[in-house]
Amino acid sequence: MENRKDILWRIYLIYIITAFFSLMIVYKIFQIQFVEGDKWREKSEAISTQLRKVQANRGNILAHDETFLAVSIPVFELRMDTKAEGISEEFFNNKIDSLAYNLSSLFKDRSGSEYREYIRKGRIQGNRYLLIKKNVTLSELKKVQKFPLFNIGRVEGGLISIAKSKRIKPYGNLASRTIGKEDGETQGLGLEKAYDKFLRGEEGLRMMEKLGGNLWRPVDQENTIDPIDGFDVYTTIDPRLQDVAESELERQLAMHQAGYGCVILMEVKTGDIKAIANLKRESDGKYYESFNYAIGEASDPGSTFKLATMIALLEDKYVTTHDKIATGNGELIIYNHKLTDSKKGGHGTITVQHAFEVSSNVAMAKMVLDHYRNKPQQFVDHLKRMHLDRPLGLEIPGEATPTVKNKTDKDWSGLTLPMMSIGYEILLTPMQILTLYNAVANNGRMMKPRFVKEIRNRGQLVQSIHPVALEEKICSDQTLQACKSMLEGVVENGTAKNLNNTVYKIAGKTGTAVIANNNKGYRSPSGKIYRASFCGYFPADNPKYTCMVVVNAPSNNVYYGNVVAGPIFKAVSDKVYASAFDINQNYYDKKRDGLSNRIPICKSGVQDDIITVLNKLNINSRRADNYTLVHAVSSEKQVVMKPLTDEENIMPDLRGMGLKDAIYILEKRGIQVRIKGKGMVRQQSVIPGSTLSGIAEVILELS
Amino acid sequence: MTSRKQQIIGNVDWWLLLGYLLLVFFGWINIYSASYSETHTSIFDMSAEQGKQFVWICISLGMGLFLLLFDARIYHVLSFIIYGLVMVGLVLVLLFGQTVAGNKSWFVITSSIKIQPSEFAKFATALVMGRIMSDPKFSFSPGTSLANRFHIGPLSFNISKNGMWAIIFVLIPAILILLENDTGTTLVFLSFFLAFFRFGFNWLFLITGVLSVIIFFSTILYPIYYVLACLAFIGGIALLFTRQLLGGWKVWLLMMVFFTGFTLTVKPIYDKVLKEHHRKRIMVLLGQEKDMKGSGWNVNNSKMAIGSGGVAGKGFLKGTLTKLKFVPKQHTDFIFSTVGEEWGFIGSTALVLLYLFFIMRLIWVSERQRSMFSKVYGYCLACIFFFHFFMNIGTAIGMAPAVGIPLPLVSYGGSSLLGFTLLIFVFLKFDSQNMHILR
Repeated sequence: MENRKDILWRIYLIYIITAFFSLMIVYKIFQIQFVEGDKWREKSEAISTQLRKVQANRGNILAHDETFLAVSIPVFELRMDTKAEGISEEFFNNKIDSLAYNLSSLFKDRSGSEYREYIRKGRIQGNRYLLIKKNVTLSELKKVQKFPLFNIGRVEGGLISIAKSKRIKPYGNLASRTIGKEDGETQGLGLEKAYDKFLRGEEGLRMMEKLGGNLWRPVDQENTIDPIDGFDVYTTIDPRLQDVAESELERQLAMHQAGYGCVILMEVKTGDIKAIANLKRESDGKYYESFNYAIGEASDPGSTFKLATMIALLEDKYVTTHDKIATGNGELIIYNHKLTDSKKGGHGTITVQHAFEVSSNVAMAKMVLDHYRNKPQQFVDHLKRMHLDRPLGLEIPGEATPTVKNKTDKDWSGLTLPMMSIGYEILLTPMQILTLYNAVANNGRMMKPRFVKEIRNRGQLVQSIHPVALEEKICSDQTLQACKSMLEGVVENGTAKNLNNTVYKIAGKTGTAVIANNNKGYRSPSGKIYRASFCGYFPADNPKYTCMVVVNAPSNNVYYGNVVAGPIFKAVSDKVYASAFDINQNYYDKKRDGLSNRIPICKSGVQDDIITVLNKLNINSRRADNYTLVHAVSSEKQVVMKPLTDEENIMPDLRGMGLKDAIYILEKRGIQVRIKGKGMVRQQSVIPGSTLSGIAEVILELS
Repeated sequence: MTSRKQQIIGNVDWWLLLGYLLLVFFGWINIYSASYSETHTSIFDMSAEQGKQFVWICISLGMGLFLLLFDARIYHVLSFIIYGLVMVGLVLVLLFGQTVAGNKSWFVITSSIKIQPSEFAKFATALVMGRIMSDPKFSFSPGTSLANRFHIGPLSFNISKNGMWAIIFVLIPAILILLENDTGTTLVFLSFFLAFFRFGFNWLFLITGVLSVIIFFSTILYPIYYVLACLAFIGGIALLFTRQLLGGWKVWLLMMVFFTGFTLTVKPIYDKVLKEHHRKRIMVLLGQEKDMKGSGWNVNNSKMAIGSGGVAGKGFLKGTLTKLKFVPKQHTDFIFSTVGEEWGFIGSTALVLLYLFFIMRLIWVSERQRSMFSKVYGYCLACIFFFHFFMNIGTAIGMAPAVGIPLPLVSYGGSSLLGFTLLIFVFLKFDSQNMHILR
């Protein structure tokens, strides 16, 4: 049958095809595994060990007082080679119970029997890299090393510890946005990011063996190349002031139900940032440092900007502070746009000084229009001389770019000039306003905000970052004098009277700006959004610190700068004033005058040490030659060294001596010391000069 | 009840069932090995692949048992409806499906449960092929029965209307799946043509197909005039035997025109139509390019794992490269590299022979079917299985281009396992009812 023959032929062909292709596969496998086998095996072995990077310890970030703001602490990952050489079956069975019990009672994450079964199972499976625990501290590691089984040594006992490090911020949230964080190459915030190249250190290399996934086991004990630790960054931040700024800001924000705010405190002479706090209300109603508003947001500054306007007017000598200006009923209509003063009915005719003190919008706009209407660019150029048109060039990433319009810009209109004069149609960051005020306080020298003073490597200075002046002189001394007087006037007679106090003088300016509600413009349907601010310096006579406070969107209908931002300023300045030694110098100077001629009381001890200290302090002293230990006796003009007995067997007179020296002397003679109290030695249980034979213990009373 | 039970269990082809179970089990332990990690040490760990595969195996076995309870005649009746539903599914997935690993072929039910309708398209198409080709009047060649014509050398490139329909029903899902950007599964539908061959499909078509593939690769590798010269040489020899082989000079002329045209158009198609990664894979496969980062990298790593296995392999769970998760997609497309590394030459050859046995057994069982419907279905199944088997292992050892299709029953993946279980158990049921079905 032809039909059948045809089909059979086809069936056989299909069988042959399948068999043929299968045999081809087998042949190819044979070829890979035998003919090319050595090549592949060699390649595969090369892959399982590798020189891997070892992270360096990241440098620390320190505060002004050398406490830690961010620090890397070592943590360890503990693993076990369950098949380590020293663990015989019998030894393992003997010790496993107590090891498991110890691990359980130290870490408290698993019961003893769970640990036992876990390790036992790992050993049955032959796991040479069994994970015991992650994130173990150094002191815990020390304890674990003494546990049974592990205490016979690293190689024998099979304990493997892998050092890692963990970044912590000892002050918690304090200034956390400014301290920032560092994640990899591209991300990161604040100082961590800005100084990453110093903090990071250099990675080392270590031969590692890949176990699976992303798991690598060190092949040997040593690094092939040791990592180099990162440098420490010494910042200008003062944690004490930072704390005041932050807690006061939070209190006021909460009181006014405000959206967010920031406080910056700057040292006048150096531009050092002593405190920088940013808080924003999150959906849970609490405030967090989630954005660095102080530098990251440029917006309409409002009335605090009037200082710049005045500087321009005064520099061009168009006005003096004594000139009279008519503000009328407090309304001014420019191109159908009505400018008003906050006081209903207006201030009438007042001096320029007073117009500034009461923050008259009408006065500012009028003056600027009168003098710059036909040459607006001249006004803008003044702002440029004050460094307001460009970023400050901060090291911290994320500085917003300010916007100052030019006459030639497309969006320049007839309203631009008067609006600019009162701080609108211009975008500046709070940090820029602060820098301007600081320049006034600093006699015209505009300092660049400084966050970091020094980079050190284990205490050794690597790099100093010196204060930098952005502008040597922003305006003439005459203008400065006028500005200072106006700023003091604001607190004495103007919008910030509530900050006036008798202890020290504050100079500053309030600001209450209506701000754009995102995209909805200045007049959003949900009502205006306000930004209350206060910028000023203190003590006004001899300025030490400048401070900027911004509170955004206070929603309790209280929005004036003096009421909302002022109290935060006052709380910070009070605290600074109360505790800052350099501000209260006069007080200390007076006190010191009374003391300066007196010779201080001096502890007894090692003669060379005492004399070294006294020489440093320019205090005269008289040496007792050939004696190591002396009594220091203060007389009218000098400190006289009286020798103490050096004889081994005689009890010396320890009275007037510090505890450290006293213990040293006694223990050198083989005598036990018991102590009561603290301070200098007042009483000793064995009378000076008596023999010490047979005496084992001396009791010292300190006070 | 006894008789019914007997009917279900007693008549099942035990060899096929055993082969199925062996493959599934072997797959499972290799998935376990490939997915083993420090945090997922249990073979039943539900958060790891091995645990999920275990669930899929249980579901598959349950489904298999369920399928054995159904009267097989239902598929004959429902074949077009099933086919229609699956095609609707393929269209819907194009519109609303999710893209996983570049293929828009998934319905995502939950993040861990995803369904790929294309896995079921094979089943539906196989059923429809059975339905069309079991028509007593069906024949691939037009007019007369195929028998007498073969020896005379009668063949022209005509095809019957029925035959056209069969081809169209294969092409519909193939094109829909190609639109999903799933080239691998599209190619699987080529295996139906191998099955057609058994049922009298014009062998010249197959020859044309094979020659086309050869010309395709040659044109990429060698200068075009060289290929044309070879073609002329072969054509000249063929001309001498035209009467015996081709049945007339018209056929000869037709073929020469086709192949010349094909040779001239391959290069532009290769350059313009194929995508960059396809070209790359082809070049790597042909040994023209060493691409150690892209597709060639996977194959290189896979070969490294297999090559390091040696005679007996490194042992279960001892494959260092497997542990390194060094071969990408090792639990799916490259599962064979785990087998090669941990079970060595012995284990991998055994697996290949097991597949060969399984496929031959499928063909053998198909041949004993009394009903044309189940015979065609069985052949389709065997050819699909063969194609998957060859392409997948071929990829892992660098013999076939990396098209990314799973190793049947062994690779990780619920849709694939369910799809093959469906195909196999329906066939087991056909076979168990073989004696009850009228010719």
